[in-house]
Amino acid sequence: MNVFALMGPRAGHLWIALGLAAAAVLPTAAAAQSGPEIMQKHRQVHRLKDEEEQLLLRLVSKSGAVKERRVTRFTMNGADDLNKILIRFLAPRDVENTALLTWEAKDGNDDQWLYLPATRNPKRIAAAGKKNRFMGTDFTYEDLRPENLAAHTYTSSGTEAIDGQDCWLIESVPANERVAADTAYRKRRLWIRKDNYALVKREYYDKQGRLEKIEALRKHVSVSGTAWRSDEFEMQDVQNGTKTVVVVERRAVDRGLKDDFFSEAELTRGGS
Amino acid sequence: MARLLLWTFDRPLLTAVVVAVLTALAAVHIPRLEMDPSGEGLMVANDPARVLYEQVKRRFGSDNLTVVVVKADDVFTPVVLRAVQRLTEGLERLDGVTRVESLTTVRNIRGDGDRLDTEPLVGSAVPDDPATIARIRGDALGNRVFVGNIVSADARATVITVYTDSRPRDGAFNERFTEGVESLIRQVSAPGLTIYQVGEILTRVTNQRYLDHDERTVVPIGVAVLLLVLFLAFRTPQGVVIPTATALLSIVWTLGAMAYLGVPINLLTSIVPSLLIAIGFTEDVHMLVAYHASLQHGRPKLDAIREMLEESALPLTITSATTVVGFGTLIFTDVTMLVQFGVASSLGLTANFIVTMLVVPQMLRYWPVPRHIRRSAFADGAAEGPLLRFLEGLGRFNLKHRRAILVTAGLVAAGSVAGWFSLRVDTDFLTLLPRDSIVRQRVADLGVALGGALNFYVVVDTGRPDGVKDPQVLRKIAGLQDFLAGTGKVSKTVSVTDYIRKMHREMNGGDPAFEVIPDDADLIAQYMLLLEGRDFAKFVDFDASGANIVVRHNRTGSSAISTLRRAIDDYIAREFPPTLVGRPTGEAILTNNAMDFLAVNELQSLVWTFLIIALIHAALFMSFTVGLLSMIPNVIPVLSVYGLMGLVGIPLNISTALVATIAIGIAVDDTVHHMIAYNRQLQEHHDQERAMFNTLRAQGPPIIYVSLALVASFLVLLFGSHVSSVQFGLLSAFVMAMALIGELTLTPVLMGTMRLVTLWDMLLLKMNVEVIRHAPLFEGLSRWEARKIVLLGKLETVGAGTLVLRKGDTGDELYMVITGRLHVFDRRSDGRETVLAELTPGAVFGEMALVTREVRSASVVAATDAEVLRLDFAALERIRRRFPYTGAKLFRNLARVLADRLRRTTGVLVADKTPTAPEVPAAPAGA
Repeated sequence: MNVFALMGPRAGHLWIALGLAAAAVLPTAAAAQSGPEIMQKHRQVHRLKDEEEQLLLRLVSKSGAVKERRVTRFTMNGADDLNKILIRFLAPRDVENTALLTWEAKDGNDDQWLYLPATRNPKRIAAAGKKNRFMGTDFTYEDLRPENLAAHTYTSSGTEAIDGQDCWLIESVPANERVAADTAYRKRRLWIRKDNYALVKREYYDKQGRLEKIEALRKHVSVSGTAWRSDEFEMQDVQNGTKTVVVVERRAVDRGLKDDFFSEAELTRGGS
Repeated sequence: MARLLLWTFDRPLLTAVVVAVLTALAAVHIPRLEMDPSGEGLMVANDPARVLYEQVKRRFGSDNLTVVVVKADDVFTPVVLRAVQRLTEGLERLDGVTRVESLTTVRNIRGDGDRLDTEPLVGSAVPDDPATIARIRGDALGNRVFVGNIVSADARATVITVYTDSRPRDGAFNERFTEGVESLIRQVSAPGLTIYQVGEILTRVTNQRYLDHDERTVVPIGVAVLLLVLFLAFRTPQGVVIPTATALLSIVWTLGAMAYLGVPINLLTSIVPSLLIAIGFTEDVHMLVAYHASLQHGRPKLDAIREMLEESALPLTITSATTVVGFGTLIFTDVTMLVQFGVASSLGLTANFIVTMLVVPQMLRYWPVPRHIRRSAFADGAAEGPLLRFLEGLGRFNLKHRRAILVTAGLVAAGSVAGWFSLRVDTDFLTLLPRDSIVRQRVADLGVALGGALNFYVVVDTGRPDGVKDPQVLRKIAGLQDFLAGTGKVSKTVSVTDYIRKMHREMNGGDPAFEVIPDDADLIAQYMLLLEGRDFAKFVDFDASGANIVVRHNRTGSSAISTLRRAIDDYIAREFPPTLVGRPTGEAILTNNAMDFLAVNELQSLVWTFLIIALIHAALFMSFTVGLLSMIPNVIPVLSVYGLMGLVGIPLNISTALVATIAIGIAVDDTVHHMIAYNRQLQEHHDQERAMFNTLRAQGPPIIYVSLALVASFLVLLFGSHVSSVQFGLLSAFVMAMALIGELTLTPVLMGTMRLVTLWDMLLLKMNVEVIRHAPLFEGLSRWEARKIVLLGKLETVGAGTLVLRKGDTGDELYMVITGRLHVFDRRSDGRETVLAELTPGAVFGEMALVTREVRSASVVAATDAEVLRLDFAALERIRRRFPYTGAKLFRNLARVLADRLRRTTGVLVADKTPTAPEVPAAPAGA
């Protein structure tokens, strides 16, 4: 067969066949994605307009003693992929209605407000408190945010199976000096499921490079469209021997939450 | 015992093999020997407070802290802050460090208008701009939790607090840690900065270093002094090498046994090897003295050794037993370290006894006879001129001033008891260091600027979860803190109330008027929700049922802590409601409990020691009276050393407490040797005065040399650098000197009032069983009782033909034939001698002398070699007093004998009147 025959009308079938073959092969080729690509996809795929979760927080001490807290968490994804988050305590009784409001900012200096029901007015909290642990749990404020893609450099470093699921292993380090100064971690490692881009495990390394915490996310459910969520996740502090288990008791998504819901007024209103 | 020793002596190969095997076994274990530098040994074993302490450590973290002080003209400068940060990070990485708290780790709380900041006081990068620095300075100095705790009020000093694990099993941990910190300090040093570390760990390491130094320098010199004295006394290397060899072997055995049993080397047990040398050599001296004495009497070497074994077996067994008992009673005390010392020293002394018994005879066997025996200080009768004269003068002195000596002894005892009442019980590791020690300087320096380098906790328990969130509870805690501040003995207290108060102030825009405890329990709960985290976990436990007050102070003495602790307990009892429990706890508190126990434990142990030793002596001499009396020359030196301590102000602490125990162990040995020797003399010479002189001449030199040698080597300790070495040396020398004086004066005086019968002699006495069964004097007496009588009387051996009684003599003793035959005879008017009667074993003669003081009416001669028992009034009195029950039986028998005599006499008189052949009476009356 000569080259000119490939251009002829009959060649169309051949091209289609080639095209189909290529289409079959392409996903595999696309599988060799870069870190940033994977993370982009991860963020994109699981993005929801808004969600409401009722969470049971179980704080487990080194000796195995357990303290329980119950909170509601409202999250809204807005312009520039920045979130607004409102967390309100439901239990125990003496901290009921204590609330925390966060507006993510592009430059990383989030705005935060804290409301203690026994006081009158909410207080603004400094953004630099991100390294602080949230209300006695093993999660810092930093940990509770979705991945800030602009602030980190991601590198794919292979694959690994977690609980029978094939995952990409991504290494994450601060993108620049400023971020490095603000964060508590020198590096983190993320395991992203290949099939649905869900995050199943995260390791946190402290400034001296030692493993500090391990986050495990389980019971992934498909919530809406391509978005999955984990119904139970746990942060284990390997250096201190403590851990925090979070169980999602209720979830509702795409409820049409608006900006004015994430306001100081809403903070102080209490109960919803 | 002597038989066993002779048996082993005759089997040198077997002995050598046994010793070698045991030594090898011990040596194998030695590498496993643990060092325990921790304070755990100073705590009371099984102290219930210990359980509480362990729980508290789990709830609130360890209280073991070391403080790294950074001083500068102004600590709020980038240079200093960076140094603090570098130090903090370096310290966090050190092995054993659980937490580090410094200006660069703490979170500050700052409220301003509607803002609330809870970020770290100093960011991860130390800022350079003056505005931020000024802000940091203002925040730090305005935070009640920080001022006086992490930074001084004048900002010239800041402190990095390092919390560590306690590592009781890791002997090298303290050293490694201290070195690690020093190395970090060196790396960070810069001009204008003064940086040093101070804390319990450094104090312990420094103590250990001084003690090690003393052990390496002063103790060997002391041992050398001992050996020198030995050489001077014996004038032959044998006298030095043999004691050294036995000491070394027993040290190896002891260390091996300690390793096997898990007894660690600590502050006290490290004394044991020196102890073995000191006590061990006294035994060897006595044995060698006996050996040399036998050699001088012309015995060939092997026989001399056997004689030595026979003579030494009893005293050595007794003295070893009593010494082991003396230290063994420490095993029943409460303080772990004392128990361990008791175990180690008892083991050591037992090992020493076995080694001495097995090895010394064999060494002597193979050692050529010393050429210079005659010249040795212990040569019989050759107590050199001045020494001999001294001893004889001493003897005379004792006789003349018997009463004065007793009275003086009584006065000394009384005076000492008075001194006992002013005795302080106080262990203070800091003041045991030399005054110019760096640690003492630093502690003083720190106390001026900031909270002390020491701390303890007061744990408040509400008994219910979230109990701490109650404002009433917080107010009680704050009240306790105010009280503590008011005592002036505490530098700083920090608790949950300080955090809550600070938070409340900042939540109200930083208005100082709000630095109080809010009334709303919910608000408090919400504040705590925010505060939760590593910093806070030190002050409130996981379920908020308990709160911890961290008390920083500089009180290093145990009695100061006790006083403070009692004040806290009193306050809590007064002010806290029954549902609220407050307890001081912490390693310092636990160690302190032990120190409080120390005096009681020591007293208990001493009392038990005395009782048991008195019992052993009572068994030995078969009399409770003798047992008790034998303890008097040993009680008085011990009482006097306590009196001295009270007088001079030396406190009773963990090392001075041992002085008395050690003193008894050594002093009581001399008494036993003395008493046994005296008793033997008495048996031989039946003359108390002579016995006393002879005993002094024979026993005096070894006792004097041994005591002086010990005094000298203890005095060498006065040159030690560690105060406990000095105190120990001074007190031990004093007590040995007192014991020597007592031994040379009091013991002879006391013994003069007793007639000693030892168990030993009882066992040795071969009594003719027939005699006991048939002798009218011994009717109804057991063999034992019969022996007592024989020993309290005078047993005389007479050769055939010896005249025992002469007609016409006056006499006041009665006789009983033990063995042999005697004849009663009289010279008739015609000059012929007629045998009036024959006396066989059991026969009594001369008994009328007890009834009336008349001249003997006939003579008695020994027909064969014979043994007779002579009993005079004095002997009867002794029997009556010593063994009243036996005496009663004896007198009953005597009465029977006299009655019998009377009957016969009446019979004879009657018979004389009748013309029948005279019976041959057993013995005529009046003979």
